[in-house]
Amino acid sequence: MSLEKDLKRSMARKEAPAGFADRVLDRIDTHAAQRRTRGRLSNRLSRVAALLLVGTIGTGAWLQHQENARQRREAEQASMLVRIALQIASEKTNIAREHLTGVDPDRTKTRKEGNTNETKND
Amino acid sequence: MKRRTIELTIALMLLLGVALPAFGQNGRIDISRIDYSATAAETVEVTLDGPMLRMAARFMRNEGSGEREIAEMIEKLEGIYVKSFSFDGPGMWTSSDVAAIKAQIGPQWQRIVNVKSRDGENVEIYFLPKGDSLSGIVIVATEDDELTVVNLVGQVDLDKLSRLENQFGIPSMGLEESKQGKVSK
Repeated sequence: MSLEKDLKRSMARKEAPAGFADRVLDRIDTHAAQRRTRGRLSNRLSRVAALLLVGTIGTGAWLQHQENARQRREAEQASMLVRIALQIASEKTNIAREHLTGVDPDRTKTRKEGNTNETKND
Repeated sequence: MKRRTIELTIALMLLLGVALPAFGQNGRIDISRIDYSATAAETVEVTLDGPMLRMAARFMRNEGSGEREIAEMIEKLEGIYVKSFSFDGPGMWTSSDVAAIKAQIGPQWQRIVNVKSRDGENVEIYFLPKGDSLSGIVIVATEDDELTVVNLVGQVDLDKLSRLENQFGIPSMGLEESKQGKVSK
């Protein structure tokens, strides 16, 4: 029985001490303010990180584009030189072939001058 | 110390003695010393090594079926070296330059063409055989007012090469425009 009385006594409603409600409300406000500050800082960092990421990706893409363009120009130039070299090699080979097969050597001069008509000099 | 210097000198000379004739062994000859660009009316100089040839081949493959055949041809090459000079008159080039080129063409090379004509147009073509194929071609073509040396290193198909003339839309040598390009890697 004394246990029952003790429980009733210990769980009986008691009035809060003076200023208790104010202290609780103050503490709530402080916590909320801290959360707002952390949130603003986090947003700012996120924006900066996003900008950096976009900037890095964009710069990388631009550099890659420049490199691709440079390689294409080099390849075009190399292929042009290949054509010139093979043209010359082919020309000389055919000069030799024509001499060997007995074609009029004057024809080689007309080809050299850009004239495709066959001519003969008597 | 003196003995060491002498030994080093002998070693260096032996090394050069081996290195210099190495030109010509693998299909390549040294044509860099021929230079008449200051006196020639037209100069064409082409130096394309393996990586540049691969790049050109990839580019030409994408250009169309006609270029694809050329791309297949140059994919088998390891180098293309050309020096061609056209002059305003005769006597502007020296036979010693031609002799220096031929001196690099050793006994393993075979001269398959030697054309000498009365009008002074001479063409010599040398092959370097490697098994059933070729590992190099040298073409030396001279006229009174022209000197051309072509060195193709690698597997060369001479039939395909001779069919390529005038296929590129490039006029034959001797026109007004000068063509000069040099790419080296």
